[in-house]
Amino acid sequence: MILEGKNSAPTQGGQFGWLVSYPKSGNTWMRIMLQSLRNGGAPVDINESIDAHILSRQEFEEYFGVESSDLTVAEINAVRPELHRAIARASKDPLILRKVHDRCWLTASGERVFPPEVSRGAVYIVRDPRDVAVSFAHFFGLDLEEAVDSMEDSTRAFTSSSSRLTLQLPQPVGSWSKHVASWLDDAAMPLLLIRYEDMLADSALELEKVARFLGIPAEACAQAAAASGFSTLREQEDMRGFRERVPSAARFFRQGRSGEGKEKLPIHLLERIETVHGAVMNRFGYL
Amino acid sequence: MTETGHLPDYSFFGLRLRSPFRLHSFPAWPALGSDEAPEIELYFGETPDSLDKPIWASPFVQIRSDRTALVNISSVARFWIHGTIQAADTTIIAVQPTPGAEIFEIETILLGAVAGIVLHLRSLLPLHASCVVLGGRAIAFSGPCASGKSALAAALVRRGALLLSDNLLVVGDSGHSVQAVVGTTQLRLWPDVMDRLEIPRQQRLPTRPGHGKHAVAVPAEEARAWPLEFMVRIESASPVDEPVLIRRHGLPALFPFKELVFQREIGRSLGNAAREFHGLTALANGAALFALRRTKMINDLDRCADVVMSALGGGL
Repeated sequence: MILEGKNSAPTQGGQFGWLVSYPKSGNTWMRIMLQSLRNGGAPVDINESIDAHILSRQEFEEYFGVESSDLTVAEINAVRPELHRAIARASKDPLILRKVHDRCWLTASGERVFPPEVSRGAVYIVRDPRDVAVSFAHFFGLDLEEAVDSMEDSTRAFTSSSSRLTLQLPQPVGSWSKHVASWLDDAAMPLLLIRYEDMLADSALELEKVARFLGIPAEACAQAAAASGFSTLREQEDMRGFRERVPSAARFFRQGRSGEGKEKLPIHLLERIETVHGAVMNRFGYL
Repeated sequence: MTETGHLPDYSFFGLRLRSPFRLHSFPAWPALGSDEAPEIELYFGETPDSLDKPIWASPFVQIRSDRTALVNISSVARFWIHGTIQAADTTIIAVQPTPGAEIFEIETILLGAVAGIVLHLRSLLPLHASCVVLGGRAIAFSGPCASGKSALAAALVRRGALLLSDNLLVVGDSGHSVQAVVGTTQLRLWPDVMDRLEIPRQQRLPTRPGHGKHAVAVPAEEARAWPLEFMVRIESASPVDEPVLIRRHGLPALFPFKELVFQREIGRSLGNAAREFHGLTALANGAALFALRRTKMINDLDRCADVVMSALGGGL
């Protein structure tokens, strides 16, 4: 079943195309397919720079002229909208693709972090949270219970630790349900909803929807999807590793299938996920 | 906030700086030649709220074409950087602290954003790099934010190297060699690195209240400049199992310049592009260039230090 956001028509004005998902939901796979598509369907070397990266500290410092590590998280968060505007002003590219794991959030002063006026739209990739939980546990080196706990944590944020310096800026993520709802119900920009399960079923078709939504020529979608198949990406990682793998994960491209959550999660965790996130899961036919 | 009693002048990346409060990040200016006028004067005073018609602006920094600048970290202080009519070669930094701000916070911002702007205003070439002297050879580490420049410098200092500068490094071309100028006497490190290197808690000085990053005083080089023998670009998040040092050649080995040159866009807005190109060309020709490919794990820090010691340490 294909579901689309309530406001799915792309705008003409903004430059940013946000590729949004809760972690471990197919975002990197979509980024690689889009990169291949923009290169006429050519294979992508996963260890070369992949477009649509997450906002980095490096960019913050380039655009703002201060050391991000000299600032507090609150000081950084307060200027995130302006950073997006600054990047848009400086770029000659009519489309700036960016990966996003943040929930859709506002600064303390009530400003939208993803400013609609510089946004072409958001592609939101959603995945069955039971499968997310298994993948999340592998990726972050957690047990399944810890992964499920984390997906319920409304205060969860990535790369906001005060114990180490991270490549990326702090990202408020929130719980799985809160993440999904924040984007689908309050993005204030055109939004296209893509289900991970539909990417597995027909990746070329889902890629074409994304391309048309973002205004990318879609002629080479079949080639791009074929060149970016999950098994191909796995083989690349087997041979040469993957720079985006985190230390806690044995590998990045692991199973890439649906239904693993029902197989691997104990009954009490399945019930917890279905209880806590059931209302949102129902919106996508997951229950 | 002004201290009474005698305060030394400081060496601010090779420039003589006079301050109304004690600085902990910079070496004292050598006693010899103490009658020279300072090139930078810091004082507490009023600053403008903002600058009109900036040629470069962000929420924190404004630069004007008349070579004045304002750095505004609202919870710490405003820094107004300008010259004087009386002494054209003197850079004045007026500091207007925010009530409640700590002196160490002011020094943190002085050491980062303000220092970079001052150096660009004085047409120097500040690199985003940390540098140590190891076995009589100066080795600089560049790389993007969070690639581990300071951490690797700290690991090498623990093995006997002397710190030449942390995070910000001024290089100049003497005509015979590339010179790395002595900068800071402290490393700025995060708890994961300090814990790994077993730096005692009492040696960890705050940079901002409640902030993870701390300053740590370390054995530092006392000379004013040192020939830069090696320039190592750290490429973290590489798909490698073990750190590996790779020889590189020529100007492209320094790409991307936007990661290498500290506050590069500010320097270019001040018309320093040609000087930057000349300096980087001299660097590419005068220093042996390397890439250090490492994972994004702190676990490989000791192995990174071993690789550098073994290849570049001069038998130390």
